[in-house]
Amino acid sequence: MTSETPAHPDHSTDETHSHQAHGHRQSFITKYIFSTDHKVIGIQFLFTTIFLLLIGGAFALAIRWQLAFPNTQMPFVNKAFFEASGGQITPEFYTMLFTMHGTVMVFLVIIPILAGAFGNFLIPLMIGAPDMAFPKLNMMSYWFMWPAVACFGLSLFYEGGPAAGWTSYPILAALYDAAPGSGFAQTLWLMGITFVGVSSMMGSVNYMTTIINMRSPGMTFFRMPLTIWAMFITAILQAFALPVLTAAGLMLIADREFGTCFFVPAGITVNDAEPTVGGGQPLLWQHLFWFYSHPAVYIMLLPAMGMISDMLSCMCRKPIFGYRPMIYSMSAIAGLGFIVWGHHMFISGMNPALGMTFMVATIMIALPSAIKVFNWIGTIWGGHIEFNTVTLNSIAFVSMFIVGGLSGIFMAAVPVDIYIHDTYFIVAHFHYILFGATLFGIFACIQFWYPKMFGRMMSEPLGKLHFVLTFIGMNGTFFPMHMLGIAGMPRRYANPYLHEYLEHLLPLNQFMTYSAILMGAAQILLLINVFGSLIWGKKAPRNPWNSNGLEWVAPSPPPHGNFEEIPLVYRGPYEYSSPERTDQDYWPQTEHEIVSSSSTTTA
Amino acid sequence: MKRLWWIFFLMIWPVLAVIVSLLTPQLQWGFPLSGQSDSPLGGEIDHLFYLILIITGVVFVGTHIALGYVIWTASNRPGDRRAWYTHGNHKLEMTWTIIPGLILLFLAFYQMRTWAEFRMEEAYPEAAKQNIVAEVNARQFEWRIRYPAPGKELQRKPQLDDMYGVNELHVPAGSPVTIHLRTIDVQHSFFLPTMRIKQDAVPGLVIPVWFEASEPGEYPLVCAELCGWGHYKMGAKVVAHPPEEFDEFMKKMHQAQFNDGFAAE
Amino acid sequence: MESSVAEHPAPPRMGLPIPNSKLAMWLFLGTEIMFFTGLIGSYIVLRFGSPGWPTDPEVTHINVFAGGVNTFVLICSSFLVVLAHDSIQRNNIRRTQLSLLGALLLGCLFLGIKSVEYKGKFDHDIIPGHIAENDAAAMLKVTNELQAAADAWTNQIMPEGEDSIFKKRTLVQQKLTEAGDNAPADLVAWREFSNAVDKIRDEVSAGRVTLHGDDSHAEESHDHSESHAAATLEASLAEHGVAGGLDFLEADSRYAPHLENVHEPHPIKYGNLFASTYFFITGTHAVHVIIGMFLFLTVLVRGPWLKQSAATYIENIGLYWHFVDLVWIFLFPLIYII
Ligand code: HEA
Ligand code: HEA
Ligand code: CUA
Ligand SMILES: [Cu+2]
Repeated sequence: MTSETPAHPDHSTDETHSHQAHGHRQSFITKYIFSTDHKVIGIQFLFTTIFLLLIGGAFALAIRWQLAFPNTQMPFVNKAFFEASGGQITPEFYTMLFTMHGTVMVFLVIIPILAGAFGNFLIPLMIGAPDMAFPKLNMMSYWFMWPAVACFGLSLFYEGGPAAGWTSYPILAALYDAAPGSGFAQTLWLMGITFVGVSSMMGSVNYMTTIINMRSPGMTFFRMPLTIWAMFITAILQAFALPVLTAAGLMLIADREFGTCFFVPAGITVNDAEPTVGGGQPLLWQHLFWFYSHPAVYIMLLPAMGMISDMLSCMCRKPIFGYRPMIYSMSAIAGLGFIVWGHHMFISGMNPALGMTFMVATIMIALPSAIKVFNWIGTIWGGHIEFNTVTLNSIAFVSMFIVGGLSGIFMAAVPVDIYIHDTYFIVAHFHYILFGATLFGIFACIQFWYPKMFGRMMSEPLGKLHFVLTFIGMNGTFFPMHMLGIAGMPRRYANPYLHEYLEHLLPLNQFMTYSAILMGAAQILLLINVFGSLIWGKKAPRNPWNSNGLEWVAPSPPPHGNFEEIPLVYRGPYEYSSPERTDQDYWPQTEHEIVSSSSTTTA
Repeated sequence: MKRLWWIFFLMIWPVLAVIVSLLTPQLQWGFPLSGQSDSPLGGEIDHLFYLILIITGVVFVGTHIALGYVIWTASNRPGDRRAWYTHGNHKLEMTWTIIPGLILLFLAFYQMRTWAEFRMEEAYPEAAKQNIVAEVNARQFEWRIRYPAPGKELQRKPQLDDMYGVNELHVPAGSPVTIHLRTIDVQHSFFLPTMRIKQDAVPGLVIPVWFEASEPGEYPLVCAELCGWGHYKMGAKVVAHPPEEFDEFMKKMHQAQFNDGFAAE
Repeated sequence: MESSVAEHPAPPRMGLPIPNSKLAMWLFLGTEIMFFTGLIGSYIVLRFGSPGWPTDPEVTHINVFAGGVNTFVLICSSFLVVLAHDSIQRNNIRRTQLSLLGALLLGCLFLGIKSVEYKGKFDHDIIPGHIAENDAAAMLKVTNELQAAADAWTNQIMPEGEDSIFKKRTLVQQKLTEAGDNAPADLVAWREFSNAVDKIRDEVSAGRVTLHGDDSHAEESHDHSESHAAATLEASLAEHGVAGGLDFLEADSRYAPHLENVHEPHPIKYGNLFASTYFFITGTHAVHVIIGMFLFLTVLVRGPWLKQSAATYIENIGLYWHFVDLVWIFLFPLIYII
């Protein structure tokens, strides 16, 4: 393990993966564009999603602008975008804004950055495999994201854009007449969803196969890092929940384009068009959509949970508290996640008796989440912490997740949900989890694995500044949303101040908008840090964090094929501060004998 | 020093959050208008809300104290001392599974009655079943209301002598009333913020919704389900009349709508 | 185990004792199962949420026999696929190829029968969005179709020009008057037909007729063609409603070629929903069949270069084919029989 020469990795023991190109010189295109190397694909996903995060964030800032200064001219962009409406955001445009904001953030940022970027990069490295089981499939799963991006992007240019929210409830989403201008745009939106679905499906089958069948010798299931467990469970969720959404999406496309009527009941007159024929059920869509999209919220969380566990353990130099309970609780979250979708539909008019069962299931999902929270606290407990960017973001993850999770309890309680459903309380809830938890987790991950990805360290001071500003901005933006929700402000309102009982909330909204602008500005620091460190970053050693995982055994950045020799695994990944080890406070998974270890750190 | 700063920074926000939350009622950021619910069922919902608020508040404060404490101790370890080597603790694990479990179960079952009252036909108050005042028909982007003629019952099919109104729903105060909620086009949601009532209107379904305005007065009615670009402007009001004046009012409305200009009486 | 690991241990292979591709195929089939679960679940919800769902094959033109044959065809092809896998393992390349070819042909047969079935529905215009669900809609539909037929005929007589259909109609009318008594037969037929269509449309819009007329035994004697057609249009309309009127027109051989696109009116409650689910579910299944056949082709095109090493591949596509077969075995009773 000491040899530094990029020798040809010897993976003759493993079977079918096709490594046509390793060792050979590759052209730029095969190396960076149509690469089948999981690391390159991961990095492609990373850059793509960061870029899309900016786009989604820009939509969010426009939303915030409208809410703080309704119907006034937006600075900078009004000329370019809103010439026609005198520089204002029209209600139609506002609808499109939040639809695309939600869509981009959920389907093109959070899910692909977790599973696509980090899942791709980390899974083979952490289990000691030279690559994914199916490298070509992996590449396709990245390239299938682009048609989705294209569909979503194109849909913006059809008048009005897709205008039914990211949930796209029919009738609004099913009939051409229902939303002015959103004729073909909505169909394009649905096609985009289908492509995302195909992309994720390919990815998840690949991940599951890789994790089941490509672990290096000694890597038993219960020696896998929690990251891998999380990715595994996430892949299962993806694979078994997504096809249902794909089916539903195809049905809705058929309703729009081919005259079927799955979701359209008879006798509906929209916009004075002819009454519809048929006898479909609009609620069916909601069931199918949430059957996917509730598990999807855990798809957007579990990988972050796993990676946070790894990072916290490393940064506190302490074994993870309750490794097995962590795994069981993740599985429980995933399992329960399949039977709680109805909590989005408490007041949708479905059978009220179902409300009760869904409520109990939903509330019980807090239990495994609680186990995880307490175990993280337990992991820090008695640790030896160092305040670097990774630690700070990870702690913020825990803290924000608690808030977001607890606000989930309010909504899980059906009677309370009668009042707060579709108010800003919901918006507060999911931004606390999606931005507060997941995105802070991702910031930590970027900082933590950046040295492995690019062989350079990211800037600490810049990272900390980014963290501080984002933290302040994020709480300033999203905490008051709870109040707005309790004050009865419905979501998806282009101009809430039309209603007397909401007028006095304008100053609060303006405060939130200023915070959001601060938060947006802070992301520029992230950009500088990510792209600047490519050039100015300190050269990274093999194992900059003195971590135990297999990925740190490979060179930074790892060559095609990852490992110089097949890593053999002797123990779990969390042996920090083990009393059996006196020379150092960590014990890499690959090291069998204590003496031979010191050489690994020199890189 | 640096450590202290970070701990302060990470832990100041829960303190601020609690302070802001406590100040909320004074700042008028809490429940709309008076802050009090305008209907008895709303009162129950508020009660449940505050119950959950207290439980989650305690959990929030508790977990953050714990978090702050462990961060504090973990960052104060002298450099030469290693972290505490432990893989967990079975007993602790059990405790923090069972206690929240019990709390959560309690929460879940404590909610059921109010939900049943609002939405399960068997548990409706008797008066609500009798008092069907109107059909509320949502459409892009207004509320159309159809009342039966005074002394008659609401029929599913429109009748010749039905009365119509737009964006104003008149009900008697002080007793439960039921409306039949429908929609002509897309989904909408019937939302009475000050009464804490909300129900989606679903194409193809007629959904009974009952509520009770405690006091005579005007209450906002808005739409809470995305229904197109004009979603935000679907505002209307519920006008609750003193019960003794309500019949009189309906009669007047009937006259106004059916007066053909030749003074019928 | 840890202690047993010496210097360079002969590593135990981690994972399941099956090839990656096979594992992935199973997992992929899992996602496919969820896909069809979504569809079948929707079908069940829609169907049992719609009291009065059409089940009578007379009404839906579901062809239970064809469906049954198709089930048999798929089962046979599944058997051939098993045979192919068995043969390749025994290194009997020829038999492998023959069996796969057989499976491929059976797949074609399946699709052939399927298209016959679809054609049967198209002939009766059982297409989502086209189906009248009650008598009024059915009458409206017939009149619209008749009008379209009349217009098509007009266009046929006066093909040239971009003139509006009204203009053309007056032109033909003119021609007729010019010709006087010795007008060509087809123009006369055209006039009579147009008048009849107008008559029917007027009657319908005035609400003077019903779909099957007043006499309630219209339902009993189901074969329209003989009994219905009364001597005049008026009589047919009065006695047998719009359906009778149509029969009257159909009885006249001069009109027959023009009535191709006019469908016998029969309203089907929930017919659109039925057609939606039927076409969508069987359609997605057919797409899967096509993909499976394509996979067979990928083996067959290797021709003489097919080696035993393709055994895993053949096993995997076999798994896929069995899945497609299995889905059909669920769909057949669900859609055709219940
Ligand atoms: C990653 C994303 C994510 C996650 C993890 C969650 C987690 C949870 N969500 Fe959330 N949710 C969303 C994203 C997410 N949600 C989104 C995007 C929407 C809106 C969709 C839309 O309409 O557009 C939504 C909407 C939503 C609704 C629908 C509201 C409505 O529309 O009316 C509900 C209702 O029950 C709900 C509940 C919950 C619950 C109970 C959890 C639980 O899993 C949380 C569990 C965690 C904890 C409870 C905290 C830790 C626990 C403790 C510290 C222990 C002690 C606690 C107690 C004793 C109380 N969510
Ligand atoms: C992961 C998911 C995610 C994330 C990260 C965010 C991030 C943000 N969200 Fe969003 N949001 C959703 C998911 C997310 N949101 C969803 C699912 C909905 C529901 C949609 C629906 O109702 O259908 C929603 C809805 C939603 C609403 C409600 C709209 C309404 O109902 O009317 C609001 C309002 O304030 C909002 C605000 C914000 C803000 C201010 C941010 C900020 O965190 C953003 C911070 C900014 C940046 C990160 C980018 C910085 C950009 C620049 C500096 C400009 C550079 C520009 C270019 C290069 C082009 N979001
Ligand atoms: Cu009506 Cu929103
Ligand atoms: Cu959910």
